[in-house]
Amino acid sequence: MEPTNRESEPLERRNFLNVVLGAGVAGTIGSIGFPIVRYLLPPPESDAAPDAVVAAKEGELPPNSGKIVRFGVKPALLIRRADGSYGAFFASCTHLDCTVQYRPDLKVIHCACHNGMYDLQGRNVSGPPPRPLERLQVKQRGNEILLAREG
Amino acid sequence: MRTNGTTISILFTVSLAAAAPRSNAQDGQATAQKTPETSCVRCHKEIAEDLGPQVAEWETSVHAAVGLSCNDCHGGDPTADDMLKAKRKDAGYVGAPKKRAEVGPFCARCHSDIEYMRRFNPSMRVDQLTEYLTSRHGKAVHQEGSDKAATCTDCHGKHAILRVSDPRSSVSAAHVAETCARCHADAARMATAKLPTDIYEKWKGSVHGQRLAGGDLSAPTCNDCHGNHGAMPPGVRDVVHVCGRCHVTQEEHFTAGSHRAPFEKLGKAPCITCHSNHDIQHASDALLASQPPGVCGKCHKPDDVCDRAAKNMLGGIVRLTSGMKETEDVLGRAEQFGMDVSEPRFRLSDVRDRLTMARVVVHRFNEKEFADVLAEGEKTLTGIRKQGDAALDEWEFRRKGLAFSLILIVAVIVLLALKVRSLERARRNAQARAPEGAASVRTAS
Amino acid sequence: MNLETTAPPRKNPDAGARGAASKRGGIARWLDDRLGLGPLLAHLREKDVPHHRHSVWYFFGGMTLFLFTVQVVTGILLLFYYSPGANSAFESVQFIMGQVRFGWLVRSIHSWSANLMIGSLFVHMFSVFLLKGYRAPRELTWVTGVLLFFVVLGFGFSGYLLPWNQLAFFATKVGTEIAGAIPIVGHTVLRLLRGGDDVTGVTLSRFFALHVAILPIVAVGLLSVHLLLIQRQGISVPLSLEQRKAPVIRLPFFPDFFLRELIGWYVALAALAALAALDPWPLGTKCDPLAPAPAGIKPEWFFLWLYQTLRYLPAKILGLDGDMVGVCFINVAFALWIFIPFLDKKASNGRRSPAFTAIGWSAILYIIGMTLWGHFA
Repeated sequence: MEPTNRESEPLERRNFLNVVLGAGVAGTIGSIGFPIVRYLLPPPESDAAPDAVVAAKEGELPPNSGKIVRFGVKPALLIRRADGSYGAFFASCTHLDCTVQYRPDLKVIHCACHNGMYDLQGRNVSGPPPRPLERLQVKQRGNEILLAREG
Repeated sequence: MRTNGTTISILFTVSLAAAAPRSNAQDGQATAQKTPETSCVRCHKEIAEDLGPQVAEWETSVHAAVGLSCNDCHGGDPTADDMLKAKRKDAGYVGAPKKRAEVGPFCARCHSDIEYMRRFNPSMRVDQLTEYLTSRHGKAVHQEGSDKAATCTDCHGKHAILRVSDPRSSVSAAHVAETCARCHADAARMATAKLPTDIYEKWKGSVHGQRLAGGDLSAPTCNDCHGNHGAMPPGVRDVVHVCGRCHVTQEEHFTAGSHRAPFEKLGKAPCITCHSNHDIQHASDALLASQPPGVCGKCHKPDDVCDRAAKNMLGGIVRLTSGMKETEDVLGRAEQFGMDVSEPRFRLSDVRDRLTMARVVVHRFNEKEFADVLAEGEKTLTGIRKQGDAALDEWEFRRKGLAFSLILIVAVIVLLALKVRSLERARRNAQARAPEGAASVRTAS
Repeated sequence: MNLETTAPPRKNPDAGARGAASKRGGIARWLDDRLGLGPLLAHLREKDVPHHRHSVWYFFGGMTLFLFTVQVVTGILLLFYYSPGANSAFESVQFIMGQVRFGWLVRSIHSWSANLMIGSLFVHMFSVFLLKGYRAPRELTWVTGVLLFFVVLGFGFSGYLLPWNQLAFFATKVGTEIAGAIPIVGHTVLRLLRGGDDVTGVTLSRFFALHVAILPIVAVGLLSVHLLLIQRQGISVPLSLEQRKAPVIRLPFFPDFFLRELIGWYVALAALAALAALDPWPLGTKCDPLAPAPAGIKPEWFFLWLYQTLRYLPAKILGLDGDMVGVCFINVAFALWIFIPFLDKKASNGRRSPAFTAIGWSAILYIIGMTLWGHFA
């Protein structure tokens, strides 16, 4: 190598190296900072195992009707009785875990799998179900109907 | 209306008996919890070897609890101190029934009297004797003169009679089967009646017996299928209604389905032909197979059109079941890795519904309708499986992302190493040019 | 001896400080006027590190510190969503991993970095021991270092329970049972740790308090002393080199050693990413105190050698309870470990102490051997 080159080339190379290295370090800081910022921004669904879920808006359910909603990984049934009062239960039939439905024609909670019937308090009244449905609490907050675990 | 002589004589006995004793309780109200100590109780307690145990038993009974004492069934004068006076015929003393056929009418003096019973329990039935007379037991005792067939006291006890709702009662849901078995598992007794004695053991091992043993008092025991006072085995044609009292949907499907007519023609009883009667086991999918435990082979030839249909149905159920299992595994794995699969897990209950429904629709023996129910479930399951796989893919993607970041990190490490080397080289060059100014590399003594 | 570690006296430190900052812009000068950064910058410029064939071991201290920083940062991040409590702990970790964006990364890094930190801490501690870096005047650096080691083990033990999954629950049950073997006060210590007679939600609350409040305060206190001492005294030269009386090359801390240290940090980062990618830290299944203990329950690897020691002790030693003797022995050994610099008089006087080298190697071999045995047993 020529002496002149020995002076200038490493210098250029060193500058290049500094730039690339700086970019690498900056990239590292960025790729650490970005996830942190994203992490801190709250996720859309803000609770894992809900103690309560919004099941319906007030007035959404006419009297003598029912609605299946998701409560964590389980289905829940919100019913509105003919007198306008609300009731809620885990919608898993106590016989074989099928999802029960509200039957406006019979005014009972009905399991289509084996024709199990529960009254509007969730008590097993006919067919194979051995136990009443597990009850949920119904609460009203503003114009929202909330379901919550009992006790 | 029967005009059979025996019946008339029974009715006669009943009406006669209805006019008899039970004076005390009529005045002492039903609410009286503590029975007044009568001379019967006082004396028979003192002379324990004479009816002492019976008095003790009576004291625990529902009759004692509502204020009914000895004389309410046996008559006599409970105020008389003298035994002869107390047991005088004109004091209404009747004693105990001597023959089996007398027991029913004896109890029925009160238990068939609505006016009387209403005071203790307004909703209590008063047709027990009427029912009993139609039962196999009642017919044996009252028409055939059997001295073995059961009457009231054989099931309810004599003096220690408890309410049916009392868990200690011999006829409460938890104990009635044992009570029936006292006779029905006794070979000596059953010999004359030519009845099997293994029914109780079979039932105990059945899905029904197991459920009851597990504490589910709504599970069927003897009287739920055979009736209690009117106990009689259901006939071939009627058994579907008996089972259908609980298994409503299965009855519906069977009655509307393709097998009802051939069963009737062949004189085969619905339900029990496939499921048996007393030792009914939890119905497994394998009942559809052509080989045992499959039951279709009892009537169908291998590979006839029905056997093939059954095979297809079984295949469908197995497919959905194993598909569910696999999907649950996928979701479980995704969950272990912390992926959120609560939504697909929630939807899985739809598939479970479909599977249960398919198992019910089988009773229609109609391949098309069965396939429709199953297809719905399979469609949902495919969607869920996709969600589960997507969750696992997402997890894989994260891992790959980390592996990729590894490349960047290694690149920076290489750059740093180059930088260190270039620093060293620069310093060496500087030292070479000006050895006296080697300030950066110091030496320690 | 290394006499350069103490800063050379200056006639007028203020003037020197001004001089150092005068080349800088307005803000630097403004700050310098108020804080007097001069001596600090001068110290950094003057600071150097011995460079020799053993100097690779110097990086493990810095690596441990780096991983500790990672723990602090990711730990604080986890606190944003974690909620202690028997009914919410597992769910909140599940939530962090499933719902929070990059939550899986933060949690995975926190778990792996904890293990790496303990690993690099073991290497750091034993390399210092074998190079006799604890000898006078650095006794206090050693003492604070060993105390930090205990604190870090405490972090590991308490943090493991926090996700409230099945494995953690039973590992904690077994771990706290060992504390019950301490003579006289054992049962009290066990109750103190568990917050009752059994591992319950109360235990979780305690471990949480320990993990995020008590241990961090203690760690930061100890760490400050540890680092301050290193800054004051500089890094020790191994006894073997010192005895040779040959001049030791010294590298300036900045930028030479710092860049090398940075490489160490990046290596740690690479190891983190590789581990998190190859063996993702699972969530496990939620703890069910009534479920039977899963088969083959073992503590975390860094406790395995202790666990294995206790496990294979005979039930009775000299008529005393085997576990109790074991626990006492371990406590005495740990206490002696703290006071090593005061026991190794030879090294402190600049002479070779092969006995202690032997102790160090046997401790290393024992720990590695027992850990492997425990792992494959």
